[in-house]
Amino acid sequence: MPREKFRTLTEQMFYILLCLRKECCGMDIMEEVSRITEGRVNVGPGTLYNLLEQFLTAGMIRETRVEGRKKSYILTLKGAQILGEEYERLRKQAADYSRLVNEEGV
Amino acid sequence: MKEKKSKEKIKREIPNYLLFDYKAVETHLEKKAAKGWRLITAGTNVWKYRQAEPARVKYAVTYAPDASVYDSEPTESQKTLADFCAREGWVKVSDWAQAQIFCSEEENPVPIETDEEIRLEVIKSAMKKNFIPSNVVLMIIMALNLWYVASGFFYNPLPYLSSWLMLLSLTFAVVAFMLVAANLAGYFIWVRKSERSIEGGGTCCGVKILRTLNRWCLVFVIIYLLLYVVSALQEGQSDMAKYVVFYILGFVCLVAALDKTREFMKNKGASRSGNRTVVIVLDVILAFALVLGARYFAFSGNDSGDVGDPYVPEVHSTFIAESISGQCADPKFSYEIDEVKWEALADWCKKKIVEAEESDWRWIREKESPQQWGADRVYECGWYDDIDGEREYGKMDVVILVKDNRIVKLVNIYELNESEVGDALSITENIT
Repeated sequence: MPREKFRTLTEQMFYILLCLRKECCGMDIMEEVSRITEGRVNVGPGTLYNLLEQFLTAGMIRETRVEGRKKSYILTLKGAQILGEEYERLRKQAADYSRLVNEEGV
Repeated sequence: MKEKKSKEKIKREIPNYLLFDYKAVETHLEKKAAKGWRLITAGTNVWKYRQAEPARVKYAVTYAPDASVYDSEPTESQKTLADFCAREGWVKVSDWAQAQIFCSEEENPVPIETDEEIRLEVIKSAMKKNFIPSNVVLMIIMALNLWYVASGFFYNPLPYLSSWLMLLSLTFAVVAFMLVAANLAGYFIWVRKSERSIEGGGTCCGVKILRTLNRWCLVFVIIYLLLYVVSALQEGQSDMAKYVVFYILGFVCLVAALDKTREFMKNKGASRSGNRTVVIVLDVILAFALVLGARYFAFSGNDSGDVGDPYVPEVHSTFIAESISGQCADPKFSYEIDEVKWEALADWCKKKIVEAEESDWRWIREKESPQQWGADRVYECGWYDDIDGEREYGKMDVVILVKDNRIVKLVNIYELNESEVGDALSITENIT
């Protein structure tokens, strides 16, 4: 069964949205994701371009500035909510892991 | 195919890849670059390479669903995508319909697509614009052609089974339909397999079987056309052979003319819809001109209706059946003699040739004493008409005589009496 769109986020979706808490130029996101994850996560240009289009269509981000083909985006309330829900999901997963591993070991 | 152009060596090739088979295209271009050939443009029908130093070049194919081969310049989304890719060191090489081909000479560039689910979504979206509609149209055309040929075959199979030309037409109709259907079905199977693979953490699947099938498809078309021309010559139909040769050459010119027109319109900055309209209108005009031109070229010398001496039997023979047809002057009648060589098909062919006579306004009667004419079965046929509620039976005009696997059909015999029909059948016994 395919995953329901944006109900859960992939690692790349998560970090793109995380970068867009502040206004950010689309092309700068690739470097920003790589920087904040210390090179652990890389977003390919094709994937980034298509995800930004999909986030825009889903109302999770909005355009803030357009200079020629250079566009900047920022998270909308809906996007922030989805990002927050994903964080909660991941936090609960981490908490479950810690609790069980501390109590019963790996 | 090589040509020299201002010291730079150029090579052209006909691409034989499915639009969604990005992996094969990437691998092919990387191998070409390693051999010293760099892609310049990937046209719809011809790809152009320039000679360069052999190098390890990484190629990546991604898709822009809103792109079109009729655009005079890249769409905004294509430009933005190229900008994003340039940021990571990817250089745009060419468009190939919706496929966007990039290359990078960096050691380990970040891949253009890092999320397989998104990649598959974009491919699906691009294929809805190009691959699926064009293949559906092609499949409908092939299905209509198959229906037309198959209905003739099932009406009376013997003309198809005894002539190489007809047998090849039938085979082509079946194989062409199956190939187009396999391509379309293969795409949907590939999508399903790729979805499953991605759900399991894998990548989009390869298209090896379909790729191999398409390569063989090209070989099949070439062999088929050669066989068709040879068979036409062998069966004494040199006009048909000329027609096919003219048509093939004309078709290649037509494709080249459409490509050139599309490129010319693009260079002149024509809009997408304007370019498409001009190319479609030109396509229709040239297609008609090609058919008429081929007919004129091949058959123009035959306006007199001269089809050779009708009293010399015309023989068609394959490994399945043999057919001899002709006319006799005294008594006056025409004949068709068929012999089924494949035992397994004999009964069916005999049944079909009798059924072919059982059409509207035709009466058919099986003779009670076929032994009288040395046959297993004899059928007499003619026209009937219903006038004022009364059925009036016309004179017998066809006799079908079946003996073992040999079927003799006498036609246009309404002027013959029973004794003359017997004579006519005796005459046909000696025709082999």
